Parts: sequence; C-alpha cells; structure tokens
Amino acid sequence: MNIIVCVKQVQDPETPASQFRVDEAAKKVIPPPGIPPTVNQYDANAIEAAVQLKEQHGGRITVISLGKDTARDAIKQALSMGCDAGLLIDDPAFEDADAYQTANVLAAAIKSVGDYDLILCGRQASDWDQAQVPQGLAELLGIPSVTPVAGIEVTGTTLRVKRLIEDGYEVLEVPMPALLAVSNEANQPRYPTLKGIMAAARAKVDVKSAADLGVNAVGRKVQLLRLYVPKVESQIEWITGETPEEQAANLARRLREERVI
Amino acid sequence: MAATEPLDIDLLRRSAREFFAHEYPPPRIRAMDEAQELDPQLWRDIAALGWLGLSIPQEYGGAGASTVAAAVLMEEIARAFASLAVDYALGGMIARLLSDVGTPEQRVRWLTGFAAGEEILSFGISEPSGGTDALALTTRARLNGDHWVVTGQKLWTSMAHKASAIITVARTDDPDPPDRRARGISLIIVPTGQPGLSISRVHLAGMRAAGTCLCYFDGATAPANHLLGPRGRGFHAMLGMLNVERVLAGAISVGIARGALEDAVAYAKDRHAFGRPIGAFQAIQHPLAETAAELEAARLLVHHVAERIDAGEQPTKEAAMAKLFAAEVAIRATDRGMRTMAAHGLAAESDMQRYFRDARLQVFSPVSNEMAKNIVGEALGMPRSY
Repeated sequence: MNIIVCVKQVQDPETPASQFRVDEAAKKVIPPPGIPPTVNQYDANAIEAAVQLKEQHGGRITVISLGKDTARDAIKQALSMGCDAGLLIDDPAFEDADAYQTANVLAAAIKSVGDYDLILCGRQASDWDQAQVPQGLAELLGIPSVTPVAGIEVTGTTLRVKRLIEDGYEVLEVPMPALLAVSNEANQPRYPTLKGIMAAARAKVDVKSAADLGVNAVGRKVQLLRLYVPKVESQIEWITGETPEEQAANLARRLREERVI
Repeated sequence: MAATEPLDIDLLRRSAREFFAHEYPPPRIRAMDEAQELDPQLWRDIAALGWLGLSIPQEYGGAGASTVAAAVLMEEIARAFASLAVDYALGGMIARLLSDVGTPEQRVRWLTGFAAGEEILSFGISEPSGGTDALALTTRARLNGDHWVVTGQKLWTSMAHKASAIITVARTDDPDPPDRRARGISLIIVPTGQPGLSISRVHLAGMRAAGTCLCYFDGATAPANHLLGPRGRGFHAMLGMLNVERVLAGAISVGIARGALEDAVAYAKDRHAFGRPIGAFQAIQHPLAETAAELEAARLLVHHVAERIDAGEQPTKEAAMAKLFAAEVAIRATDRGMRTMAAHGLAAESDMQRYFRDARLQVFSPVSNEMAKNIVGEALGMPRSY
C-alpha cells in the first residue's frame, strides 16, 4: 500500500499568548524567539494513521511538506515515527501561499512521487485553521475525499472510514485511491523511538522547488486584508438577588439575554 | 569501542521533552518522588522508546548510539526527573559492561531483556565501610564446584530491590603482589530472590525515587558461568566505563541545573514586588545570568568530553573535570533558584526543593568531587594526593 502524508510545520500552539506577535504592516506572524515550530498536531494524527496502516498491511509512506528549510524537521519527525521517504517543497514564491496555491503545488508534488493508494492529511492546520487544503487537493487530483476522519479500515481496494458528524459519526465506504483528512479522535500519535530517530538520520529528504514540479505561484484566491491580534476585553457583572435561588434565576435570565444559553 | 550510529540530536531532545511534558508532567514526577519509587510503567515506557537500549549494540536489541546522544538524553531525563536519570545512567553503565566484557551467552541472556525493559539489573560496588576507596572492598566470592558463593555487604545499590540480578564487585583472589589491590577483584552476576541475599531500601533525602538499597550477601550463590569478564580483572573491566559514567553524571547535573534555572526564571518573570516583576531587580537577575553562563559552559564541557570518548579517546582528566564542574554548577544553580523563589521553592508543591535535594547527590556520586580533583591534580603532573 503506497501512502502519502502531507504535513505542515506550524508555530507551536502552546506558545504563550504573551509571546505571540504579528507584524501588522507586513501582515505576517513573527516567530517567537526560542520556541521552535512543530508538526501540526492533526498532521501527527495523519502520520500515526499511516504508520498503523503500514504496520497492518505493509507498504511505503512518503511524507511531503511545503515550507521553509525548517520544515525538514517536520519531515524528519515523520520519518522517525515510521515513514519511509520525505519530500520538501522549498520555494520562497510559496511562502505566503493560500489554500488553493498550497493544494496546487502539493498536487504537483504528489504526481511527481508516482502511484499512490491513499493520501492522508490533517483535518486542518493549527495556525490558520482554514481546513481547505485537503479537499482542494483531492479535487485537483480527481479523487474522493473524506473529512474529518476518526477511523480507517482497509479491505482490499476499499476504505471503510469513520467520519465525524455533529452528534456522532457515520461510516462510509470509499474506493481507493482517496484522500482522508484525519482528526485527533483517530489515534494518539506515537513518540519517536531511538531506532526511529536513527532511521530518520539515515533517511534522505528530497528537496524540490516549484519550478522542479512545473508549477508557479499564481492563481491566489484569498487576499489578506489585515492581520492583527484582537484585543480581548473582559467585563465583570455582579448578579444580585435576595436568595441563592433568586440569584440563580437572575443569572439564567442574563445568560439567556446574552444568548449564552 | 563499537562504532556508533548517527542520530538527529535535536529530534532526540525534542521527542524526549514532548514525552515528559505530555506523559509525565511535573505533578506525576512529584508523586513518584514523594512515594520514593519509580512507577514501573515509566520504566516500561522508556524501554518502549528504546532508551534503555541506547548504549547496547544493535545485535542485542539496542540502538548502539553515541556518548553524545547519551549525554543529551541524560540531560533531558534529569531535567524532568533526576531520580530516573540516576537509574538510567546505572543501566547504561551495566549495558556497556556487558557489551564490553560479557560472553555472547551473557549478552543474549541479560542485554536483550534489559533493553526491552523486562528485566532490571543492579550494580553493587560501594560497601558500608567505604565507597571512594573501592579497592578496599571486603565482599568475597569463592568458587565452590559449579557455583560462586558470595559473602559481604553492598550499599547504594540502586534498583536492587527490583532487579533480577546484581552485578557484584567481589574479591575472588588475593592480590598478587599484595600492594596491587586491583588484582583479584571480579564481577559476579548474582541472581536476586535467593535465601542468601537480603535487600532493604535506604531512603535518601535526594534522588528519592532512585531506589537505593543495602544488600547483605550471606552465602548467596551464582552459577560459575555468571563470572562477568576475566577472573581477577573485574576492576580493570570497569575502568573503561569510568569516563563514560563521569561524563554522564555531568549531564545529569546539567539537567538539574537547567530545571532550577528555568523554574527560577519563570518565577522571576511572574512574581511581582514593588510594582515590578522581581526579575527586574539585579539582585535576582544577575545570579540567574551567572547560572545561565555556567550551565552553558558545563554542557559544552560534557559534550566535548563525550565527543572525545566517541572518537576513541580516554579523556580521564577532562571526564573528571566535567563531572566536578557540572556538579558544582548544579549546586549553585539550585541554591540560586531556591533564593529566587524563597519559601515558595521550599514548598512540597515546588519542584525547586526537589532539584535542590537531588543536586546534593551529584557532589559525591558516582565519584566524589574531591576524588575528581585528585584525578585532575595527578593528571596535571602533581604527586598522587590520596
């Protein structure tokens, strides 16, 4: 089974809010000093799902990332968890790519890798939280996609996929090749073992530019108008009442007025 | 020394940090420290990550990694939980010993289970009558037909209460000539769980969960083929490990010092007095800056010595320096950390008091800082001072 996993390196979501800065003029997030970027957590779920499928059915896992040279660390982490090969698309033209451009270049990269049975992505990235790339990628490749996914079983050339819905999940049968966008309910990503870390050290990560893939950074669909850290203001309102019951009733009334309940 | 495997040090460091942050955060560590026991699951977890096999050759289920990798991992473990680091260091030392001088049968028998976390091994060298003067040991082993009979006492034998065997340093033969005391000392793998061996815990104020023990050998037996390395050359077999042991002890001190610095800095930023964070006052800021500088120097020294060991050298003087310097850095770092946090650092809920207690062991283990100075002094060409 040939599996491709798309991973994104993101700013560590556990970065303290006090250290989160944006350059409003440049409309860019300023990387916090001393806090290295990390693998998007949902992508770690996708990696884990791929490794579990490989353990069950055999095969090969290729990890692809679009990003700067630092994204090599994200690929190395995936390799240390059990993936087999890595491809980094490092091209400054795609530094601020929107979801469409990202999907476009990933589609070209996947075509360059060769045949595949399954593409796994995280359901969304924790930096921009757009949840657009997986479906766009599937559309560009002309294959079915499911999101968000909480479980995967393989039977022959068919996937049995547990898809999260608002009040539970539904089970879908999907023919391969397909793309699944994995959610955190699917698994608990493993920690790299020492042997895995060593295997990652030996593995070679291919690096390609957009030109190598025959794509360019055109067709941007989203214009970023403003990037800023919203001011969070909190107000305290004391709910009064003669008795605890009256206070509770008044509290319920106010919450209803604010449409909280 | 066997060739070592390449390894992505940053990835190792990052994955170790994430493991502790998510699986064993400080409250879980504090609970083990207070219970004075390692959670057996923690040992199994680090075995599953392959950490126990770090120094073991790949043919016996290990990773065959470098001393530098061991130092990095040791710092990360000690940063999270120094008691675990002590036991982990001991395990690594035993694994190296078995790899270096064990017979193929002994390696298969003991290394595989140890790397998998299924078996714990302990090491008995110090005795109630002395530790630094290791050659004065009084534990004896005599060969009686097809088995060894061991009599004596061992103190500070970490994890002996959980081990399936204790590698016991014992005199098997009189030294010849008598002033060459290192001769006639052997290593015997003594199985636990036998009537001739009783083990009791010794509760220390520092490294409380490491589980150090007192062992009485009163006619304890071991099969004749449990002799590890050549008979009468046990001390020589250990000499090859001493530099590794000392540099890794330095890495443990670096980990403790880092914990003290990180917690102290976080506290200094958060705690306010006179309308400012206390870290804004030089009385707080300067000592922490000194710790930061010393910590960096200690880490560089540890890594430098580890690199030389990996290059096949025996940097005895520098390994003693790394152990000595890093231990003193840990003492100063925890003292400054404690002063920064004042009474908050002494609270049971604070990790600072644990770092403070744990750092004390680093001054005299695995070799006292005074003996380390003797080694350095002698290497500088001065007469032996002990």
